[in-house]
Amino acid sequence: MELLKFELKKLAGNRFFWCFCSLLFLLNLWTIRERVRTDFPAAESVRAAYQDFSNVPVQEQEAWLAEKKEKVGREPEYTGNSFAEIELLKGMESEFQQIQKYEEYLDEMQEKADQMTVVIFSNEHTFAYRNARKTPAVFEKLRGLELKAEVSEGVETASRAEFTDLCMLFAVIALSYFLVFQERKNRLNILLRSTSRGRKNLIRAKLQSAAVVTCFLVVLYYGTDFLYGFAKYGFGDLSRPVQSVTMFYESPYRMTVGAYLLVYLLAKFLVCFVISLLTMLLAQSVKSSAGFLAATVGFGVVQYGLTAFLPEHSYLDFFRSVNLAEYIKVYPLVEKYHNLNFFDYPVNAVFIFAVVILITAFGLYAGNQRRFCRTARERAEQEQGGLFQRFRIQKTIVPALPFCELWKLCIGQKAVWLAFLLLGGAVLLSRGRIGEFDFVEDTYRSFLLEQEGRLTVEKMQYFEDKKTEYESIFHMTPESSDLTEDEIRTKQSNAMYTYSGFMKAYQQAEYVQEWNQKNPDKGLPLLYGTGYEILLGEAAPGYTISMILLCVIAAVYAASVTLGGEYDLKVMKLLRSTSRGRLSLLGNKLLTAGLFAVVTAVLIRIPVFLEIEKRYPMNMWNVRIQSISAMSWITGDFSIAEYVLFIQAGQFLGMMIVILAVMALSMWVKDTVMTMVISSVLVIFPLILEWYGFAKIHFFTLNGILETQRLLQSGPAVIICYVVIFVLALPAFCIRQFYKMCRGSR
Amino acid sequence: MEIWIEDLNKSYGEKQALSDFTALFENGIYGILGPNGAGKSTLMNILTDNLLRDSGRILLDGEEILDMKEKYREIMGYMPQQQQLYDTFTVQQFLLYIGALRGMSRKRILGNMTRLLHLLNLEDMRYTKLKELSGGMKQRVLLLQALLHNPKVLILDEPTAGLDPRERIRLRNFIADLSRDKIILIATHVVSDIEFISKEILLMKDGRLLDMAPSEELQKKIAGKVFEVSIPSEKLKQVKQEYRVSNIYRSGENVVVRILSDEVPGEYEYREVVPGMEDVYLYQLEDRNQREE
Repeated sequence: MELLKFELKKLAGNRFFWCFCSLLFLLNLWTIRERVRTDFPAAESVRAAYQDFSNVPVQEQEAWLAEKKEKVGREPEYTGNSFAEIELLKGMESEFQQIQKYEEYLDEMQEKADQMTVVIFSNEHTFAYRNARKTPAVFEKLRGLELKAEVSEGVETASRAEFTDLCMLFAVIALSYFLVFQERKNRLNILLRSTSRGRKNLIRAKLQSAAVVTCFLVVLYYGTDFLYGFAKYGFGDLSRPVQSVTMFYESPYRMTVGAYLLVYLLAKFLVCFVISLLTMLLAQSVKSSAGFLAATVGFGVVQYGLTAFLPEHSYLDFFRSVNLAEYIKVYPLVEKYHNLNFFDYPVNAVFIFAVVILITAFGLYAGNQRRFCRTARERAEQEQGGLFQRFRIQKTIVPALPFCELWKLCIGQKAVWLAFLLLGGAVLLSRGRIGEFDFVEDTYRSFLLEQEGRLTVEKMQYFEDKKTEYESIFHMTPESSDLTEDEIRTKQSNAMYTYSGFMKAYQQAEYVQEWNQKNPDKGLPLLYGTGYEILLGEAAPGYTISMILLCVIAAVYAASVTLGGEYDLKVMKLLRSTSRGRLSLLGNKLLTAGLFAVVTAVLIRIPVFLEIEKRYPMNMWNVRIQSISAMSWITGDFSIAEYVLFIQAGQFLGMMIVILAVMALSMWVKDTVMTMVISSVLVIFPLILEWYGFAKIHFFTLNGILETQRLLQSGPAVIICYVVIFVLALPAFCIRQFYKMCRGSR
Repeated sequence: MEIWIEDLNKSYGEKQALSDFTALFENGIYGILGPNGAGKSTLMNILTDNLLRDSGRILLDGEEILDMKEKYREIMGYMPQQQQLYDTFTVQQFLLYIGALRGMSRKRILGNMTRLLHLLNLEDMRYTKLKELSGGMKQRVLLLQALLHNPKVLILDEPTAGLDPRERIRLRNFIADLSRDKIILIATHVVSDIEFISKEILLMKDGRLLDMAPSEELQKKIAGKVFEVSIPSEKLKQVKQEYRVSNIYRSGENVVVRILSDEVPGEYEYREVVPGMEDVYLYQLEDRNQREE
């Protein structure tokens, strides 16, 4: 217990860890707030409506709903808006009806299972047959459950906590890092391990402290989700069966909502603790903190990949379901009846979860202990050898500071490999998203490319004629034509395929015509603009964010390691004591990080641009930007090329600001890995949030300048505020920190 | 009590860090002297069970220390060469923590701590955070934690690194007082740390034990090989190229150079002098081809 106390004390005194956890907590809180705020209908109205609804006796609830629906037109009671009120009441009605039909649902399950058994009866030894045989018995146990229609959204909000999972992951990685690496870096591990209880007892204390802190963080982060869901929506009667909650309607487990919430927290703790054990083992197994980060991220990507890319109904479902990325969600285990194919035998997923988690926990606990107690076979120092040994700076190579810094970054810190990885990511990105087949787009493209250029009267006439042609097909009757009904239907259905694409082209032509009529001296051509829209982020915004994400990763890495590396090696004082070790050195480091980020960003854009150009030809760069209908709001006289360059310049400026900010952070944190982790939360995480649809975060983070296009679309007041804070004040603050460092205050 | 090290070998890839190291340690102070890369830290790490040897035996009173496991670490105290500690801990908290790691009861820790804090003049620093201590104080705290459980074997790695002369002397004298009933090994490349307090000095180079003897004996072995020559300043460069130089000082218009040579430097005005430990260090441990250019 004594050692556990000291381990907790060491963690308690670690201000970086707690600042980081607080930052994650605030991000989580903001995310859940935004999620609830953007819910429709509004949370308060849902809560109020269900509160009234649950006070009505069950037999009168249907009538109550009908009455409320009738009154909507006159007085929307809960939402203040007829449309929202109808949606709310419809949702309540649907839930009520679903709950009333629960026994019928169970009968259906039985029927389906019987049918399945008949269909596949010849194959008794298959998973499908065995699963079909097993299912009815499971659902039979649910007969007689008395479901209650109460508010579900509170429990659902608390359960669907993917962002909280991400925050928890970051916190657990930081926890493992501090538990293992800090003493290794300070070389205190040699002293501690030389004591009589400095092996088994010490590692046990560390593992126990990991459990305590993980438990605390689980309660803090997921508890916040619970509290918020409860405060906004309420949980309803906690003693009602969990099947009363919409998302758990198909759950095969007899448990109350209250029991589910407790089991949810417990399961979260178990999974998060297993993750912390795993990351601690990884931390002990690798030599450097950068290796630890790479191993953790790599493992996480693999786990996520298993969940995201493996097919659901196949033998691979086992690997898809049995992994930490899936388990950390927890709610899918309760949501549906799910058996995994275990050598053609159906085994309940929850049972497998319990077994896997417990065995993994014990295994990792023992693994950590064994690893820690083992006396080292070799020095735990960073090896400098292999491929890069051959690329030592020779005396004959000019020892210029910029060259040395670039060498340290690219070769010493292995940034070259990251650049290759990001380039690979860019290639995959371009193939993946842009390469998707879209019939409407294809049709639109073919119509426009045919007519691209100056919009003449003939071209406009062509569109009008085509439109008339389509309309005549859609209004065709057997009487007006000499075709049968079936033939007309076929003709209309075929026309539908190309109609959407054509109308898009027609609307573009109309837009150009209208513009030219209003601005005869600033004529616009007819332009196929999808490619430009993608470049600017107007179309497929997720793709743009992904590309920016890749560039920002390069910037964050370069900025973190350039200065952080010197602090890690504890050579900063030495460097600062040299004649060029202040302003010159800092300038060169900024230049190096900037150069690396810019070159990588340019290289990332190349495959993406080539793919866009291949799929969405961009033939007219010198025409006005307003030729793209989505850009009609722009008042200035820019060509497309100028505007695109301007936006790209804004994005590059954003990356430079990221570099400044991360380097200033690095001076404060004095640790490469922590700088990278904190920067990821501050810079990369907001991009991910925006990718998921949280657009509001745009204006409170560097996303604004990184996606300049969207910022320009906001009002002047917003732009000015944003520029003052993020483009002027933030860099000025960072530069001031650099100045203080040069002067000797840091 | 005795520690017998027999044929200890350790290599890192192609580099042989320790090669057939054999030595016997009984109660008293032993200084381990050698340049960087001599194998001192490797030896320390193996003796503190932080590094696994390739081959060889280390026996404490006839029992292999690897078999003893925690029992060995219970009677061994280690003072590492470092200054990085737990910034947020006070001195007392740090010592309580180390005491807990040594399996001591709180009462015993506090008792020993009070006594040692007094001995090492750290009483006033008891409740001070470690980050606020000077380098010398941190070294004393590190020494204190190594002595907290009254070990029989004390291993000190560069105990006076970063200390001013007064602190060095104080620490040296303190260590000398401890040596009656302990085996104390001090790894250092600062000769003055161990010259006068060591029972025996071990000279290590390139992983090998070159010699192990009391300092007087080591000095006697190079008697007749240490000279002082008085030369004009212009000849200094030439002398540096021809001989190993251990000291230079001015005497009037000339420069007096203390050199090491197997032959008498007949071409200069010389006198034979009594060798010191620094001479021994230079003679035994410096590369004969390493002359100043």
